[in-house]
Amino acid sequence: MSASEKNSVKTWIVICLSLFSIVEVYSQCCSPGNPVGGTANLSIVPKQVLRMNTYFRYGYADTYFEGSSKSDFLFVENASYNFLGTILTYGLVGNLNVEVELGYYFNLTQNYDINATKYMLEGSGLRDGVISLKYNFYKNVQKELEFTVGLGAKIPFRKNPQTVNNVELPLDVQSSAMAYGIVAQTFLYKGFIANGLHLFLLNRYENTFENPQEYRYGQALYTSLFVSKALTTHWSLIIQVRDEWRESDQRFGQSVLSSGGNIVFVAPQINYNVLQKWNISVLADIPIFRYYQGTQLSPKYAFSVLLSKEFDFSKKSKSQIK
Amino acid sequence: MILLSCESQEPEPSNPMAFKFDSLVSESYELYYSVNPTTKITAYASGQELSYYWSATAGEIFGSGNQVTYSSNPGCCGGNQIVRCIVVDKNNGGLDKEVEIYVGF
Repeated sequence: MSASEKNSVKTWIVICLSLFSIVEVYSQCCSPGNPVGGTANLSIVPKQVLRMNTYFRYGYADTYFEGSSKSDFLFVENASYNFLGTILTYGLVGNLNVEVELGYYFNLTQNYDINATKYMLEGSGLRDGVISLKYNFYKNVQKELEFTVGLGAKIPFRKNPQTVNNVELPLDVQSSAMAYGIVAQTFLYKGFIANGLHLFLLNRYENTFENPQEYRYGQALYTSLFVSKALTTHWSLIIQVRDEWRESDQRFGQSVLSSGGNIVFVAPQINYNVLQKWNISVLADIPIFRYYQGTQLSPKYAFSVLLSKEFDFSKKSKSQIK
Repeated sequence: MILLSCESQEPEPSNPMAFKFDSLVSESYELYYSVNPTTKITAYASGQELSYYWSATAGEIFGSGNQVTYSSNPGCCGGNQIVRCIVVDKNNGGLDKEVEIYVGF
């Protein structure tokens, strides 16, 4: 594989993983149009290199589903959020990286229509952070094959629910799950450079513990397959198919009826590379299959804008030594 | 033994500024989403510069101050839910009361 091809693969990995990293947990009862937020940026960076992925995301929902069918049920008329997140990945030693995920909800808004009376509730604030270690177990340049595993902890920035005007907000508009948890991730890459094709398979598992309100979000598993293709030197197209599965939530040790389910998204993405240094991506999330337990508000669409950049501190260290 | 008292039998004049949380009253104590999904809950209290803090075990609370609207959340949680109000007086700390509301679908 030539140096330029290696560079190309690296760019694809960064783009795809960055885009997967902005997955959001779908809206459902009692788990906010929220945001526990799946992130899985599993490619690793070399020692003393810092990768920054910063993204903005808007999501909207206005339709209830029961099972796989639309429901005429009406409670929340529509829900939306604006979110800014960043993922910082740093090369510690050899094949080992440390990664930090942070995010802030500018708003998590629900407009209600209850017996023709309109209400509105809105929360905001920091999402739970995640700190992970990632290790590259296998990399074979000739075979264009790579496998990385990550393990981390979810850390809440608040332990009590947010209140507005001295009134406690419901879970659906809380920016935090208010609980610790664990996150495990795997990343598999296979290239077919001869055909200009790159395939990525990513998995992310989240297990959130019970919070002080005795509410526990269900375990979640996100699986994403990316296929990428370069259009020109600067422009590239990525198609992502993503499955999001979540088990039912638990409240006071009992299963919450309208929670949990499965959604499959297709996410077309376009990327622009600036001077081989910056990547700007835009993507839309469109659900193509959904199955919900009980009746739940389902996401209609979401779009994201992502900015990605790497900073090589090893060069600075070397120049300082000289 | 009989004890006699010369004290006045008239009640002491009440201090309108005294901090009291008299009651927490809901218009309805049973909610059925298809019939009556909401109820108004009012806190009756007296004191100086009162603040009202509201929370519920499940469901939504709309509004603020001494009266709020509580709605069952049909997607989440049925059964008995507790709505709690804490009233805080400028000088005298806080008092709290709860109402239990049955939520059915």
